[in-house]
Amino acid sequence: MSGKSRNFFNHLHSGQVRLRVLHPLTTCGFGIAALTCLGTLFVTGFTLFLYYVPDHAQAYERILHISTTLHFGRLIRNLHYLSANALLVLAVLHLSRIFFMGSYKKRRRNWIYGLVLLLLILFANFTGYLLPWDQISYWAVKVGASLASYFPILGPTLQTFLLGGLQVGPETLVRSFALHAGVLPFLLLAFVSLHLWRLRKDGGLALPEVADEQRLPAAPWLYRLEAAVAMTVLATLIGLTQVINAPIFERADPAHPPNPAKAPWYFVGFQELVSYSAVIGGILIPVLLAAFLLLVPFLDRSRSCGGQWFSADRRRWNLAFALLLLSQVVLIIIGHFLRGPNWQLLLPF
Amino acid sequence: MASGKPGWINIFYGAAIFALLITLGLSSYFSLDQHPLKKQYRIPDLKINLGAGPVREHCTYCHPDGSRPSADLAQRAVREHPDIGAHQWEKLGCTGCHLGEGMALDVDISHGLPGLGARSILKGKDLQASCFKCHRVGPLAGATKAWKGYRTFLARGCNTCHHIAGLGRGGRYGPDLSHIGSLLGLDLLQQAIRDPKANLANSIMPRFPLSKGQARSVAYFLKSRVKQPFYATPMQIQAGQVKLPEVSLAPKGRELAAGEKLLFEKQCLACHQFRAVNGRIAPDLSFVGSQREREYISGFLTNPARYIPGAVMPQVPMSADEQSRLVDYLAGQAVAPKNLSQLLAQKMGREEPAKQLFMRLCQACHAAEGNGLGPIQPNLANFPRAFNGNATFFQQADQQRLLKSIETGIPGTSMPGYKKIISAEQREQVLNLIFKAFIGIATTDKIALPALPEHTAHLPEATIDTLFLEQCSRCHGVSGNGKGAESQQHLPRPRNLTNSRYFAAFSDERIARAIQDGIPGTAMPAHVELLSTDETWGLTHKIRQLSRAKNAE
Repeated sequence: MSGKSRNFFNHLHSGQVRLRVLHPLTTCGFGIAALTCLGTLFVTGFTLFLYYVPDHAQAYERILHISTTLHFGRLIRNLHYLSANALLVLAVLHLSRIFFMGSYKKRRRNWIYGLVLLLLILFANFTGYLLPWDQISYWAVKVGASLASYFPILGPTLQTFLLGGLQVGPETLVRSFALHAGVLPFLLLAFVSLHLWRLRKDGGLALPEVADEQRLPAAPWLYRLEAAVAMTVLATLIGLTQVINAPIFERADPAHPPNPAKAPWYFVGFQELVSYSAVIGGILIPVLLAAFLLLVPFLDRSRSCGGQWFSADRRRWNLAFALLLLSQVVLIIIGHFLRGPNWQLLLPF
Repeated sequence: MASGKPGWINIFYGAAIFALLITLGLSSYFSLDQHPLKKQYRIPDLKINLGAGPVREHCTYCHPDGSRPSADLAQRAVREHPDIGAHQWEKLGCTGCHLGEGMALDVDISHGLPGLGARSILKGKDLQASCFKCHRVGPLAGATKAWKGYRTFLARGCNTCHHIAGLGRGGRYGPDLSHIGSLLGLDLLQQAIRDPKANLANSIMPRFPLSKGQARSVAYFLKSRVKQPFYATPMQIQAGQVKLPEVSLAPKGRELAAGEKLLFEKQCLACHQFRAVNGRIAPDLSFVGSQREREYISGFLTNPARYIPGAVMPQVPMSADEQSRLVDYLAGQAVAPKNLSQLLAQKMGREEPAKQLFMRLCQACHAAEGNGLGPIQPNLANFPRAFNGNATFFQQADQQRLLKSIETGIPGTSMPGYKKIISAEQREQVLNLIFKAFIGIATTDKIALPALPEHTAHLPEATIDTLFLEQCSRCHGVSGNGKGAESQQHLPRPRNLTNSRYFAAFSDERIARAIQDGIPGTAMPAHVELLSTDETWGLTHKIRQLSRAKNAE
């Protein structure tokens, strides 16, 4: 671009980008897509904020009111629900993309920021899960919170802090809401800013140097591409709101658990593990999983430059990660779809 | 370098803008088009104060003036809400009586989502489930079934096991039903009454012989037991001012002895049989004075599980005076007539005394088919011995032992002694009939079992405990109470090894023999190949410890 640009986005991108950056398979657009979901969540979340009351006697009726009576209420609530789940999926896909490309090399700090973001997303999703105060959300949070309590020392404290007591109750609702709408959005905003800033500082996408590569101005090519991805994601989400409704069940009844009571889907994998062994599934594997993700940039000593899909000398790391990812997916599928009353295995065929 | 420019980005960009505009437009259109305001000028928002706090509802959007919904306005006049005195919708709202979710403007959600059905809409006959939320429980026009349900609730003795607020006393064995109406829907309540094991496989609640209609009536009454009744303040509830009425349970129009009246009033006959009145849940009390000692009856009333471990009979609350009168009556008056078999023969008009005795005395537990699955078997702590298809058991059992079981009963179980009811000759006739009709072998057809090996050495206690865990605990439970992990798979259920009265009557040899050779007709397998002699005797000793009983002989 000629002359002085006053475009804010120029702060986030370098003026010239390599042609490879624009290739669809370089990033698959996961990061931008996740960012779009986050933006959608902020906008829809603020709207819901205006109508929701975090009181156990009113919360459920408020949700009914929002989704059946208000103009665009159902659309907004569905959009919030869909973006929240899409964000989690996209964040994991983004993380996998970074891993399989080895892009965390020399960018350890940004990898850590990314992990913090994933944790924040999970936490935000979990605290939001309780807010409708219906049977499924109540019991899912109860299960989720008891999964946390398996952790020695830290677990029970964390559980008491989250629940505002020893049971899921009115206090839990207030806390969940405060965290979900008052704390986590700002933390997410802060870490997303850090994440993007760090990316710019590290010199854009991690891609191997190729001599004499063609470069293009970021404006309009990169901006158009990013806008196109964002709009596609948004269009898909909005389209889905007409097909998928955010779930609502009966009012929460602390006396009658559904059988089986399941954690939110993203924690069902751990619930499934805990059903085999509390120590191994509830402590050992989550700790190993977290340690693996946290330490990978420090342990990976392969020589290849980051930014290449499935480079040969990182095969072991990629294989390990793929196995971890696959095991979680399989566990979640088993836990979510194949577990019936009393946690018995129900085969669909 | 024009050729190197990725032109597809522009196409993607354009397509994305197009897609976004289309989806935004379409979903905005659908959202507005499906919105309630599209169909009606305004959304009614009713706010009323019922005793428990303000209630807000949109019900009159579809039900203007409380009418039944109809797209045709003329039809609404026809389908208008019936006039029930003071029950005007603009004063009381809708959800106070009809339940449902008043804040939802959606047919499925506002009429109650599937699940427990606590808020499922009540209409038609079911509406009377709400009347006693405000009205005092009693005869009330329009709520006759709910009132009948309350009387059934008392007559079937539900409150002897379940606590319910307002009666001033109540059982401690079943879940508290004081707020059950706020938690469960009518259908679930009805199911829980008619088939307690449907939702809770290990429920000990007996299956009462109630018709669908009777169970529904009880459900109507229970549905009115809610957390915050509209016209009672928490202080009134706390002070016990909200009461359920006392209902006389003794049948009218019949002169009853004082003791017999007590049997009705203390709800004994909700489960037990007494002469012509049959609760069909628990054993016959008609001849209990001839079957059990006075001390036994008195002690049993105080603590049933001490006499028959695992008995589902609750301790029925009664004063010491009432209890002694009841015991007097049962021990003194509830005795068998001397000429029972003649009376039976007269009544039945046939001359087969043994058969009629079996049907009168044994059938309720051992079943008319002789397979042990009698009508009251599910409520007994111990499975009645099966005769049918159980020949091996009777080949191994000594004839004198069988006769003695009939004569004196089996301690620690519901099997009473018949010594004072029928003569020795008749007892033998009944046993012969059982052999002939059910077991299908001659009374002399016996198998002599090989002698038990001699006790050689004592094993250390720790070894025996480990052995018990390995070999016995799956069925008999870690504590030996017969409730091991696999116990529910077997019928007859595994024996409760802590039953002292039962095991006190056993010799060590018989326990050891049961371990070594198993019990035919039950899930108890032979352990002759699995255990050494010392181990068998060690486990026998362990059972003695568990049952805290030495052999009386």
